[in-house]
Parts: sequence; C-alpha cells; structure tokens
Amino acid sequence: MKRMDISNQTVTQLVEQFVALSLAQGEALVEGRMATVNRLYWKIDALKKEMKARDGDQRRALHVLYSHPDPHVRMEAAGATLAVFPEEARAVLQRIIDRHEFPQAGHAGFTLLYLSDGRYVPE
Amino acid sequence: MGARMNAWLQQQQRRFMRADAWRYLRPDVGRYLAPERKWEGQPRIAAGSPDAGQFTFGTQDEEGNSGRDHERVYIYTPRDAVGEQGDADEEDDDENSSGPVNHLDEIVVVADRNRGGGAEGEPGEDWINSSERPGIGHNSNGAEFEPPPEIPETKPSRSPSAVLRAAASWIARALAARAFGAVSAFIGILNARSWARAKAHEVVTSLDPPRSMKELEDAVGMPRRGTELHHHKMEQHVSKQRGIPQSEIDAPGNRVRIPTFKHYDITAWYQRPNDGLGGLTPRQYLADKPAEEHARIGREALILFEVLKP
Repeated sequence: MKRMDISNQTVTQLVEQFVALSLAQGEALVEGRMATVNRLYWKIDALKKEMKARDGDQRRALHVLYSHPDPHVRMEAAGATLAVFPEEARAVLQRIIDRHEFPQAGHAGFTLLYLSDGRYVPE
Repeated sequence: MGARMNAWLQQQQRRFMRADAWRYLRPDVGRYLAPERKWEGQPRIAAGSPDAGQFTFGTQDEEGNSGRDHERVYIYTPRDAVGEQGDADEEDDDENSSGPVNHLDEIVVVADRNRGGGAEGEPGEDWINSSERPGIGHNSNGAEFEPPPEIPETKPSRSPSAVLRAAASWIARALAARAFGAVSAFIGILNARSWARAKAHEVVTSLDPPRSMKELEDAVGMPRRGTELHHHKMEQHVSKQRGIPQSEIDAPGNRVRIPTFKHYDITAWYQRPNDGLGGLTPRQYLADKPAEEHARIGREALILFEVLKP
C-alpha cells in the first residue's frame, strides 16, 4: 500500500484525512473487519503524531470534529485531543456514552475509566 | 384471516411502504398502538385492585421506582419455545434455518403515559411530520437522536448485521427520547424487509437493560434467540492456548448469556488497538497476564457495553 506523505500536508488536509480514516475505521469496526480497523488505527496514529509535532500542537484543529455527525469521528477526535482539551474531550466521550452510541460508547467508556483511575495518561 | 391472505397483505405492505414512511405519521400515532398480548416482564396490576395480578401495559420499572429506566420493547413470539434454538457461540442464520421465524410485527413498544409522554403528544415525535429532519444536536425531551438509518430492501451483500446494529442503536436512542411512534414506524419498515425481520431477535435483545451477574450466569442454561454465550472471565481461545480443558472453560461461572450484537461489540473491542493500553489490543495486553486480570477486564467490558449492571 502506498505510504501517506503527510509531512507536507496542511493542517486542514490532515483534518480531512483524519475524518476519512475515522469514518472508514468506524465502518470496518461494525462490520468486524478487524485487520482493517487495526491498519487504520496506525494511520490515524501517524496523523495525530504529525499534528502534535506541528507548531503549537495542531491537534487542537480536531476540535471542530466534536460535533461531527458520526460517533466514531467524534470518539477519535476526542481521544486525540485529551491532552489538549481535557475537559471538553472527556465531555464528548461521555456524551457518546449517554447517547448509547454503540459500539463507540463501550470504547469511550474504557477510555474514561482508564483516565479516571490513572491507567491512561494522554500525552 | 388465512395464512395465504396474511402473506398477500404482507407482500402488499412491502411493495407500497416508503422507505421514509416514518416521516408521514401523525404526531399522536402512539395512541393507536394497542398492545394486545402479554410479554415476558410485562407489568401486572398491583395488589389491592379488583384486577390485581392481571397483565397491564406500561414501562417495566426495574427496582420498582426508577424514573430513568429505558422504555422497554417487549417481544411476543409464540413459536419461540425455549430449547428450539441451541446454544450459539456461533452465529445462526435464520434464513437458512427451518426453525421458527422471527416477526418484528410482534414487537410492541410499550409507552409509559404517566411520565409526560403519551397519547396527546409524545414530546419526541414532533419532528415526524416536520420537513426538517433532526441531526446531531436535535433535542427531544432531553435526549437527542438522528433520523433512523436506511434499511435496504435487499439484504446487503456485506455485513448485514452492521445495518441491524445501527438500527438497534437508533431504536435505543429514540426510545430514550420517548419517540414511540417513530420507533413503531421504524419497526414497521424493518418488518417490511424480510432479511431484517429474520433477525428480529438480535435487534430486540440488544435493547435488553443491563442485568446482574447472577441473571447472566443463570441464563446460560436458558437458550434464547438473539443471544450467545460469552466466556467473560477469559476468552475461550486464550483458555485453550493455555491448555485449560474444555470442561473447565465451560464450567458454571465462566460463561454468561448476552445479546448477540453486544457479543460482537465486545469481541471487536478485544481486537482493536487501544490508546489506554499503549496501542496494544486488549487481547495482546492480556496475553501474559494472570487469570485475575482477564476476569477484571472481562467484567469491565460487560459493564461498559451495558450488559452487566455496575
């Protein structure tokens, strides 16, 4: 597969890619295509690292996705910005749980659980 | 009405029902939903009344007094005898089965008319006749939900259960928003799709409220369609890798009976990389962990996927 060259992309392009990859991962998750889910996880992870490395930690640009219609995009955006907007990002995850948006609600629940008991400290 | 006439009517319904039929319902459609039968868990008239003990209609109120419980969807399936469906750690395929057929038209949404919703205008249904379809942020009686997912007329070639899981998830949100008429209409659409109707039990069981561990364990010996057995203390394949004999793997207390779609969700969660585990999947994380850690994570999964009461 062609490797993504993300180092020359603008933040807007990175956000667009984040949305596309998150949508694809959410679809693969409910369809049980776990190999695809895992491959996309690492692509999204690469985007997050690239954005974090940009001047001023550009993961904050993912804030606009907190109100995205797709729960998986919201979950990924919140997860990626826990270190940047801790309170808001947690609220987004909590909202997914409150709305019973499964399977994302279960994943969001684990993230909040790990955060609350210190098993997970976002960077 | 003869079976042939009934089949003909169902065919006509399938032919002429619009995919977006729910948009054309009157706001007070709920008053015409007339539950007729009794269901598992259906409430009874309290002692002291001349009709005490008779079945009545309303929201099952777990613990008897909670105002926050979800409205229940009851299912009545006369051919759904216990034991007809074997234990299912594997997915069954009703369409290829000669066993009983599920009927979504036997699902009845029971509205609680004493909590502000009900016949004279259920708060969650105002948008049904509106040309403006709600999206994220739509607020309906304190809860939010979007328009229902599209249910294709023919069975999707790829992962039909994904469509039905989305449908079940939407029904749960719509019930929380008290949009009983919308739920009823949506069930009508599901019912008009034979491939969806064949999986009615999976949809309904996914709406089950969380239960106690004892209830889940006791249910192991009570086969129920739309459920599967889940090894919650240690995944079955891990137990096998560790050389644990099958009799011990399937021992009482190691398994619980849970809704099929929840089983899918939990199994997928075990296989997805997790930020909280440093990018490992829970399965990878647990690979070298003792049985106690497996059991702890397994219990957390049951709670967070709303199968087990906290």
